[in-house]
Amino acid sequence: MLSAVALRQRKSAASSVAHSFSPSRPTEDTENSGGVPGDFENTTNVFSPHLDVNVFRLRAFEASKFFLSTDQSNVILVIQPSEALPMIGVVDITLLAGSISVLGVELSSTRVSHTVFAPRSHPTPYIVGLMPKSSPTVLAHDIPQRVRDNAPSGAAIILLQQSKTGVESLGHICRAFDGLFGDVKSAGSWGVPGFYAAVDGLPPGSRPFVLPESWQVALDSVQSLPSHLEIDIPFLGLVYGAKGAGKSTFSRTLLNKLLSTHPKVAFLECDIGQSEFTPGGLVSLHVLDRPVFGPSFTHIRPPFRAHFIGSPTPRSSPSYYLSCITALVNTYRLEVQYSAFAEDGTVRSVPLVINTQGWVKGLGADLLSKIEEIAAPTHMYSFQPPESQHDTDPISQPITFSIHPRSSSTIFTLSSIGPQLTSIKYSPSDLRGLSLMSYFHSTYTALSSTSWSTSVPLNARPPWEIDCSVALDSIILSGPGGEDVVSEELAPALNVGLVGLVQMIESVPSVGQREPQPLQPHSFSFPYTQGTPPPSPEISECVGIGLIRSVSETSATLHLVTPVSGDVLSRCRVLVKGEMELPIWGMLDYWADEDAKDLCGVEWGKVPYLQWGGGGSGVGSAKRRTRKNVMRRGQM
Amino acid sequence: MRLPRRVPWASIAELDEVCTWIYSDDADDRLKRAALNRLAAWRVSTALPHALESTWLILSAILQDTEASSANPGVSSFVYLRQTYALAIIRLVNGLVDPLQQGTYARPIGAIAAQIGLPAWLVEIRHAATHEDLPSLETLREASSQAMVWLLHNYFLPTISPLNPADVSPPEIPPLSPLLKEYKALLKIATRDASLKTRSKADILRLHRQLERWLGEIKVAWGIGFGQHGYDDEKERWAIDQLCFELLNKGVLFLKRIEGDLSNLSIPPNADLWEQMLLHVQSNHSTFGSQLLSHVVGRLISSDGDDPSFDACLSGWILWIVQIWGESQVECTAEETIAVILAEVGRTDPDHLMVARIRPLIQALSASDLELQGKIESLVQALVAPVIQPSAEELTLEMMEERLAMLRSATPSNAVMEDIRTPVHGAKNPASGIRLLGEEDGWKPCPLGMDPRVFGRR
Repeated sequence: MLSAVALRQRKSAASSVAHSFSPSRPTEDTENSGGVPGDFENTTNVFSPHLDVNVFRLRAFEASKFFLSTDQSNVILVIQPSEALPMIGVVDITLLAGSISVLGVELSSTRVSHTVFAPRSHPTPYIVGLMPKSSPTVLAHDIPQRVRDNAPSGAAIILLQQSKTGVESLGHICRAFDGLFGDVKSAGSWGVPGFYAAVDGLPPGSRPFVLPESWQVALDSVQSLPSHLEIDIPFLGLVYGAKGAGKSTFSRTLLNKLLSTHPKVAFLECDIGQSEFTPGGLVSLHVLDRPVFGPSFTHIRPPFRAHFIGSPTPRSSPSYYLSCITALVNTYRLEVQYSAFAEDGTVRSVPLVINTQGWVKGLGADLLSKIEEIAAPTHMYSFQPPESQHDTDPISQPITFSIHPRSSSTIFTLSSIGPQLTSIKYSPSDLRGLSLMSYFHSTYTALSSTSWSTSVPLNARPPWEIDCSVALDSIILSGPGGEDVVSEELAPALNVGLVGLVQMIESVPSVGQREPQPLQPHSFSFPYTQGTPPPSPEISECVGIGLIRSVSETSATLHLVTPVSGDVLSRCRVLVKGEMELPIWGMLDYWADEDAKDLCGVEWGKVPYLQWGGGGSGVGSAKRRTRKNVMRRGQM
Repeated sequence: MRLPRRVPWASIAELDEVCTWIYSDDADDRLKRAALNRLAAWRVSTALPHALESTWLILSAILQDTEASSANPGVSSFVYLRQTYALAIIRLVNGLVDPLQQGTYARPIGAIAAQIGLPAWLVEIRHAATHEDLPSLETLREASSQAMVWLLHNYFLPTISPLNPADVSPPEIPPLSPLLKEYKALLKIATRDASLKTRSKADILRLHRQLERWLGEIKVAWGIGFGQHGYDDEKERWAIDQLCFELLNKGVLFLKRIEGDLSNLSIPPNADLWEQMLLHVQSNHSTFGSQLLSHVVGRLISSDGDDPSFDACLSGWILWIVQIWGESQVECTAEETIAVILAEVGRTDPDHLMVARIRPLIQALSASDLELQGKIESLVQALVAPVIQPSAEELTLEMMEERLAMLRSATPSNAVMEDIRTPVHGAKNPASGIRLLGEEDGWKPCPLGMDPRVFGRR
């Protein structure tokens, strides 16, 4: 009777016996997550913590040897080869001895601290102990004696420290992502705040981060590149495939992998929907010297060079999009390609990883092959469509993009990771919103690590006041329909809009064909000419995105909020407004009471541009929405 | 969490103004043109409500027409005008109907149009313009002016002065029981006679499709009854609730007579009859499982206990839901279910008279998890025989301290905060024409889109 109920077997409390590590266990009901390498599964055990055996809380005098502050708890872990520690949260990891891999990237003992971001929304990373490559050396003296005594030969020793980035608070703003980094039941934090070791099984709905075998093969191949790729033609890898195949995860891992053999690696982001290092709407070139561990919204940073498209897709400005990519590839060739130096002072090439947009049919396919032509990659990484897609979507044609790879490039075919929790639980627009809010609340510096502050919502952030007739040369509306906006109506078009902050590289005095106009009163003092195209990417660059929080027509001034510093902002004399919109989250005061009757002291009925549902019953008052999965009669 | 919607107008008075411009009778179209320009600007600032975007397109066609007609004959191309009109009408009809295609399978456009009161004529023009000959200029002009009138009555007026919610009549729900009856009869035969399985497959699929259509229909009915402003998830939730009500009628999920009682809980004997349909609904509506669960729990707790077989059947369905969806849905795990049941008991039954009755169910739910069972058992014991509770003061103080600690650990360090609050990287006035505002300039936090120095506060 009772046994008829097949309830889910909750795993019992941590037993002292390490149980077999099975990355597929928590998601047995879902389809194959993309070829789990069998030997990994069989030879890896979940890390089993024991205080003062393999988990050590540092005492004050021990911590001081690492120049650590003693008022926070620091933990040293001893991880043996083939042990894996699943983690959730945020933590700074410093490898002290041995070798580990995190998110598919091997760390060698460099004593550099890396911040690992492991939100619950994304696959759970494992800190995996690896067999050290060289014979174990004598352990450094700053490692506490009791750790040295306990650590078996060949084990990795890592230091965990609390990471004070403030990234957790992004969940406050983007409520869809609330509790993103924590609140893990039955997970030990071992005294490091914000870190959760999920040794008793992953929280429900999480799945482990596993590299499919085809990825592993492709990634391993960059470990030792042929020498001609090092000098004459630098490595140039192009990643392409359909939405949700795992392009950005693969690109990020490829970037990290290259950083283990190169001092600097460049990254060209062509996916303007969900970009890796910037909010969407930009094509950007980045140069990195440290790996990044975590999903894209955790490493928002200023680009080396970027251009503003202003839309989550290149659909409405395909040729401008391509010209921006061309400009960035040229920038890479001229300024980045040979800009690195090895330790001995010799020039090292800077490899380039190109991530593309996931639009692989129709015009998207054309764009892809043009990008390939522009970039002339040495390596191509192509994703196979997941097999399950054919079953569920009878209408869709086989993927029709036809890149004709150059004979000179090496091609790897990768298996798709299939639908991830992230793509089921969060819509692309949720993720775009998260990345925008992460941008606006970040410190946005090119320095090593980003931190976030959410203590002040956007509507309480003191804005920059911009006198348009003095500080700006041109305001451009680049989105579809922008050409229909007459100058008298510029203010309603701009208010609460996101704009690209564009700096002209050459001093072109007549940007936007702005002639000294006969001074007319009223709104003509906005430097706006109807129908002006966006500035050519050859002579301009976008340094960031700003939010116009209010517009005054009478004085032709804007109030603008941006994480970009005032010095950089003052060089931007062109503002470009595209199609992107601020998510609703960004307009609210997330610290206020949920049923507050007002927003910043203004009662809800008078808050501009926002309306609560149920306010009216007009037909067609929702935004247009199309569904592509409506089935016709006769379809099963 | 409910969020407000972004609308293009700062206040509803702005929409009212635009409406007045559009429907004004000015001879020189000056106001209409002003409305067109305003709508174009709004369109750039945010995605327009569909009706407003259609208004914009039709209005632009009408203004083009006036211009073309007043120009010298032979100068204007009228086929261009016909195309403009036709596209505006196609987009109007599609945009109104598409969001109401809420089932898995398409409903005829005519049927949806009839439900929202859109003239069938416009649907015909849409069809003709898309698939047949381009309609004549005269037809298109007439259709456009009708469409504008329809938009005034069905979009602008209700949006500008919303109906009092009290005046809204509850939506009419089409009956579902015939479908459920047919399904039951069909499955009874199919489950008894395996040879009929393949033959009845097509019928079952047909009924699944009909069920989806019914769900789509009542979602539209919701829109008409409660207003189109509803949130999508709210609509979906309501539709699934209606389905749960229908399923919980006797004779559907409940057998009139059932062998067994609460001491002998098992999956209900009619589970295989309904399994297929329930799984089908779940596969299209992810919240179905948890909603059905809370309906069943609610019914069980509110039952007077006179009919043990009724309670046994309800409990059986709870077990079934947990067994089927407990793994894939967080809301349907055994733990969560027990929590919901206990919370419901606590809410409706302050004396915990129910506890003894639902105890077998809770035991069954926690059967496979010893740790959980132990925890629950001690809790239930406490409920049945109340012991002295820890003092409320102590508890809250402890909780508050815990929360404080959590808050402290979550707030980023002060240094970072300062950094952002006053962008210290560089001067407050880095170039002429740019300066950072502060309190000393009269700037205060206020909703986006407002300048506190202009609007003032309160």
